[in-house]
Amino acid sequence: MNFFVIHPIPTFLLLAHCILPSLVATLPDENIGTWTATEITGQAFVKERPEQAKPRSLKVDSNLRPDGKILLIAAKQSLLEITHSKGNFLRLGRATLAEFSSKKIRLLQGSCLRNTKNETLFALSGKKVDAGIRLKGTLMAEATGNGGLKVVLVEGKADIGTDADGAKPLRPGQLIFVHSSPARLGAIYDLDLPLLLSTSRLVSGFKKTLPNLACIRTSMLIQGLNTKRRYEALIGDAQDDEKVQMWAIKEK
Amino acid sequence: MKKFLKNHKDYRVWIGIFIILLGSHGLLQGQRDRFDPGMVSRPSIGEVAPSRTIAPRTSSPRPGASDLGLQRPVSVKRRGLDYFIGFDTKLYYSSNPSVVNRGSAGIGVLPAGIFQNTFHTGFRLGSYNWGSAAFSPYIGMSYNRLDHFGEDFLDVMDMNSLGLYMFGLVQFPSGWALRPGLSYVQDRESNDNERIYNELLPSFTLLKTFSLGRSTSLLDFSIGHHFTDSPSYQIVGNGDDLDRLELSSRWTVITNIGKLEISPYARMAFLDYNQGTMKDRLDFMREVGLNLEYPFNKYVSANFFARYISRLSKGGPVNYDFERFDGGGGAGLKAKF
Repeated sequence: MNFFVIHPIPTFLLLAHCILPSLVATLPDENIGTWTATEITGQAFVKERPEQAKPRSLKVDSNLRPDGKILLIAAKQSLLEITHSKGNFLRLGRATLAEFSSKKIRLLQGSCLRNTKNETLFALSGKKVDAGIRLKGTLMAEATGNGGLKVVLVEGKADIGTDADGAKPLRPGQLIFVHSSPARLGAIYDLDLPLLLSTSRLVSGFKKTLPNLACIRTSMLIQGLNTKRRYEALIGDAQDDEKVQMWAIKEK
Repeated sequence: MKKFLKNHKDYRVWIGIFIILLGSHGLLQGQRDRFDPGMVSRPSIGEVAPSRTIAPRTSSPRPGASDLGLQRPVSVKRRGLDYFIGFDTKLYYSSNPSVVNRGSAGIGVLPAGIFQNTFHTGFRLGSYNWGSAAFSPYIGMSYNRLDHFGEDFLDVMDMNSLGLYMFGLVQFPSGWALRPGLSYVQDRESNDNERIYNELLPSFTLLKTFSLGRSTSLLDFSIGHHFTDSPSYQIVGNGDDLDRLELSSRWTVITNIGKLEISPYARMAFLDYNQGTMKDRLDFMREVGLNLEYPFNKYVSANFFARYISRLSKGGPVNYDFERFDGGGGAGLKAKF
């Protein structure tokens, strides 16, 4: 009879696996509408149509309508923030190239930060991988050398899923790699949140502070209370699907 | 090379075998369908590897280059449950262990040595996100034994004390914290194990942590009410005559010089007695002190301390003013799991 008992975690994983991609496609999308460039450091560009020969330079208050797919570019040593509504924005890090539509971010190069006040479903892709994200809070992502992604939840709640692995919940401070084709989810690492946030240009490189800073600090507090050990290492890139680069921190 | 190939016409076979081997290796690699960080070419976590002189080529070409920030892995407890246990032993001199009034011609002011041993243990029952604060409940107990030496008259003051406590710590990111708690203390004479005092203390503490140059400063304000029962005091009054409201504040500055932790502090307390023979008694306590702690490792530390305590009292059947100086040192053992 135990066979018929509904276990919540496998059920959630099964449902998330089956319905996440279709939910991304079918749910009403609050991100449709005009996005506005709210902060630019250096130079940023947008290419709104594939046939557009030259990307258009972006200025603060430039409007964007990502009904289709647009290409956002933050040049070397440049940062870009575009905002849809209060608490709903996207930041691009230096030397970043990202295809962006209301339901999808494809990070071809560089890094981004996505903040949503309300629960939002969207697809997050790298050069070679596709994942579905359910997010309420702040999430960062970076393109990796193997065409995959490195995804870090900064604050709030998020589930990340691929067709091959289903969905995995992330806690604040957790990093996960998405790699291979078809996309697979890698191991989850817990990161030192205070160090991450104090050195992150996507967090502190912009004039506007993150709207949920108090919650982020609470996450840092709780992580501090629950931390057993800090490893003498820093996580780097994933150049291929087998290896993760780590730098050893030199002891004094 | 051509000559070599002519002489070895079966080179095609060798190349074929080589390609098959490469292919099978690739297939085996493909069977590693999970991303296994254990297979990475890196020093094992926790070990310190020789530092690289040239950073590897990557989308984050060197530490600090990623706009995500530095990604240092940590090991985090899933449930956040802590168990802690400790033992402290102290040997110190006290100028006035019986806390009597020197003004009464010095009668009864008997300096002595004190040997104090304390065992304590407890749990942190997880940490929870509570709005914009972190909430952590704690429960625990302590057992304290106090033995006097160097003055035979004070042998009657040898005692042991059992304490039970529970409190919730609500920490705000701004450095403020709230600590509502409830504790119970029972004192017994060591010689005949007679219960001499017990109290129930509900309290509420407001704490603030802030930086002070290179030091960390901790300021707390506390209010609590001692509900007491003192069988020994019934000789002159009622069992609950020592019931009192306590308002206190303590300021501690913690500085580290190498491994040595230096913590000077100052404390003030105002006590208002409200029962029986003590009904009109008001006390003002002052305390300044210095704690030094030197940890040898995660578990063992040595400590030294000095403190000066005084009480100004008015009301009550007699004069309860006193002054006392304590100084000494000891060692501590502690572990957290």
